[in-house]
Amino acid sequence: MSDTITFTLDGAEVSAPVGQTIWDVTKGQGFIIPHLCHRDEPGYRSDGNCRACMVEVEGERTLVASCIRPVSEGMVVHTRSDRATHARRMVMEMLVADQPEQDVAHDKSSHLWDMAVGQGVLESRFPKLEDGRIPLLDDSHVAMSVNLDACIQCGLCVRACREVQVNDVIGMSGRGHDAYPTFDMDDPMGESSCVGCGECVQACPTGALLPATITDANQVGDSKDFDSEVDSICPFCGVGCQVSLKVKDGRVKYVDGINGPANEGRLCVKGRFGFDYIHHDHRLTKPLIRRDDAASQGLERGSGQLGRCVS
Amino acid sequence: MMPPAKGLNVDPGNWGDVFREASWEEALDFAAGGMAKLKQSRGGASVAGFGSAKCTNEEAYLFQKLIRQGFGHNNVDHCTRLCHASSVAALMENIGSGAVTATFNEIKNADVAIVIGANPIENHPVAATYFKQFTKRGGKLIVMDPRGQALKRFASHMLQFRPGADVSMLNAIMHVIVEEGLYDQQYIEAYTENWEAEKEHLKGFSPEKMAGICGIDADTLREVARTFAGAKAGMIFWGMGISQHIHGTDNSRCLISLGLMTGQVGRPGTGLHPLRGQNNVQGASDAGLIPMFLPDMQTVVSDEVRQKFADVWARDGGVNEPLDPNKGLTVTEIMGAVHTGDIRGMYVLGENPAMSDPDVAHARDALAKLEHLVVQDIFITETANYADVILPAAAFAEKAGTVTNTNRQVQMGRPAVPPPGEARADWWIEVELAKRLGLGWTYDHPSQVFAEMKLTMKSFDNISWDRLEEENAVTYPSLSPTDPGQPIVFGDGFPRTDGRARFAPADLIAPDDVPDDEYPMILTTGRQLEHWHTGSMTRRSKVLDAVEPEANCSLHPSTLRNLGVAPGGLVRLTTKRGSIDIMAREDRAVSPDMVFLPFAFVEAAANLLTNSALDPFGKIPEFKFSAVKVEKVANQIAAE
Repeated sequence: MSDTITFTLDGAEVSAPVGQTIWDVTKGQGFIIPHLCHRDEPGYRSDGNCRACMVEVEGERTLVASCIRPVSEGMVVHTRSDRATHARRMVMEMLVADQPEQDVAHDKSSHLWDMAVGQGVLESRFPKLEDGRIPLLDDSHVAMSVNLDACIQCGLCVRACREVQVNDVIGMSGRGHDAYPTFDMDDPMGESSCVGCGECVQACPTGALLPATITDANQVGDSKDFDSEVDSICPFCGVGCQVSLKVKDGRVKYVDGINGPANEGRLCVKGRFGFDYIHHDHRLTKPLIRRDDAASQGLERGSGQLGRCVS
Repeated sequence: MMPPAKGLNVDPGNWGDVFREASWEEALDFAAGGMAKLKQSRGGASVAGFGSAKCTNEEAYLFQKLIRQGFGHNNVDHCTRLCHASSVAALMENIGSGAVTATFNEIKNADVAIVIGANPIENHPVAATYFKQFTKRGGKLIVMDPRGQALKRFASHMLQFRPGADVSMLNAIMHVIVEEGLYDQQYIEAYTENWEAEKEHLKGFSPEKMAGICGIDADTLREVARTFAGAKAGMIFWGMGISQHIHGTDNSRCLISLGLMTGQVGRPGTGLHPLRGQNNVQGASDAGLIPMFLPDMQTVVSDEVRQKFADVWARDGGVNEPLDPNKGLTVTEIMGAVHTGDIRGMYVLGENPAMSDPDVAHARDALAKLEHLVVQDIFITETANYADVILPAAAFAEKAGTVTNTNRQVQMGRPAVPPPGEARADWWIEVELAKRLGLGWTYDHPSQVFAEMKLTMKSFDNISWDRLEEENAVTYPSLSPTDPGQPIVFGDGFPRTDGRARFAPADLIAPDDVPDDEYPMILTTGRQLEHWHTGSMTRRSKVLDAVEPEANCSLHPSTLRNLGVAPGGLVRLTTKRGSIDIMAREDRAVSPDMVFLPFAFVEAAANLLTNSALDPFGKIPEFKFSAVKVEKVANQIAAE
């Protein structure tokens, strides 16, 4: 059996390795199919739950989620047919219905808004979920905020926590519209067994989970609001995780993990949230010399003021 | 008012009583002038240096060069001495290389792995994610640790053995492998030496005999031996629980022997991997920040090696001085030489011996005694409290340079923000000092240093600054300019005579400071997820400090109950070296006769208590074992 599959993609004959999904092959051809619950990063399993990436396969009754559908021999796929395009837009429109408006979004530059704007979906004809049904802000964690009004139940945070970092803190609870990510036994994030690795905030496509440094007091923010981003290495342990430092006004605003050989995008609490020591006001900014009137040697003087020496 | 004498008495936010600001010109002249004066009056050996595993490869290289070229001796060391020196000693001795034989990511190809004396969930959290994933897909994880640490939940076998009894447990496991013929005869014949002696030696270590010493029953030891020996691909990971003992080198020798006899080296999913601590401890060691080795672990005792370096260093107007053929003093030995008056001045770059050294009161006394102490750092660390001059350095995110991780991956660090005020990159400060010491250095960018390192360091073959700029990371050894590097090494033999690794039999040695009636319990030290080493960085991070703000130790609930201390109450820990009062947490992971104490907290510094007794080969102190007395503190009002 051959390791390669030949099929038809948008009218052209294409060859791809066995096991690749329609989404992967299409990306290889230069077209990114809109996607939300699919995270195109190492270690993330595709789940196919959000239906944002649907495409048409000839001879099949329903559209298929391209992110989990492996290509097969002779398959004829239309990623840009009217049916597929309209269906994808409809999914976006339904999801956008419950989102906070983009100009007051928790993350104006979230992946979800990228995908919505890219498909021309700026508003929704559908009614919003009634007030009071959505859990309120959870800002119990010092490093991360949880705004479930932006959550689309895609489960990326669950996969981030369980499958990528294997911390098993986040799960989904509830049913239907009321299904939400939950920390431990529905504890506030800051009181849960969360170890603060922040994999979930890096994975969340909506801004429902964000580093606290991105949003303002009104929970409005913009993850693309930085002056520069620099690829470097985490300064802490010997694992040597590669990081991308986002800098705004001369200060590091937040940190993402990037695809280094050791970490493949993952970070821990120190690497993601421990960067701000460099901005501490104890930083030395000028050379210092011991004052001339200081005793030159400690041993010459008797018991002086020993300050905060502990017994 | 007279400023106070040298001591731990400087408020890092308000240092004006003790220090005054100076220009770079004045400070550099003062720093270099003081060292030069000592060299002139008392000889080069009166000045020693501690470099840093937190700086770049280029900065580590320049640091050791400055001490060796400028002062004519090898008394230059860094914190590797306190972390994996014994592992490196055993690896160099028996497989001819101090670095890991496989990246930790190789665990994805393994079916059995041992993690011993390491707590990666807290100390190498991202590596731990790969270990946890390995268990989720059915890999058997054997965790060996006196503490029931977090990986226990993922382990197929948890061996919570008696602290300090590593050799008895590992020898018993190897005894079973020999006795039951589970070893890899073909591998042993092809790639090892001294097997017969090892086999003979292991005869005396039956699991039945060792069970009483290590606290693990014979059946479990046998089962673990069969599990590991039966692996298609097995890996061994270890940490400071192995290395920080007076028998740390012996502990590592056992792990190496275990890997060799089962043929678990050199293939995908196999390997020996001491998990390195600091972001650049592999790189700083490779760059020669070690008293016995010039860069690339080339011994100082070889005339040929020294001549090669002297020649390279004499180029472009550099000073042409013969290098010292004697191995230098290590971290703890240097502190001893300060007490005897042989060392009068020190240059400390980014290290914090006033917190990190064992028996730290003794180390602090030494620092106070120095006539000239130059400290280069980003904060007024506890060590900088004792400085005569403090040179403000750039943090890692403020400068360019390469670092090498535990996987032998050389990676490019880039500046994201400028350093605050007049702080400057460490390499710049080193060059300015060297110029003032008359060494004729002319570098004006770290890439020039990297290029010079390549002249004497074969490990950097096919790795260039430009390549790292482009690719971010290359693993050494890299076999061609397009090879991303070799994640697994020694598949076809070892860098030793005849390509053979050696079995090094290890005997039982008791810890140095064993419990007695007065000090009946066992103190062990380590780290917590949120805090890094001496806390100078992480305790100044808003998030990390908020999550773990208070000095704490962990005790078993029954121990606390017997002491009459509620969780969160204060206990007094006393060893033969010192005493601290500290908040006690309840933790079932700790055995009833043990105390676990993190060393990041200055207000209750763990190292006031630790023992400075050394492993004879690695010269690493026994941080992991002290006899301790634990008492309830009468006044239970927690100190603010």
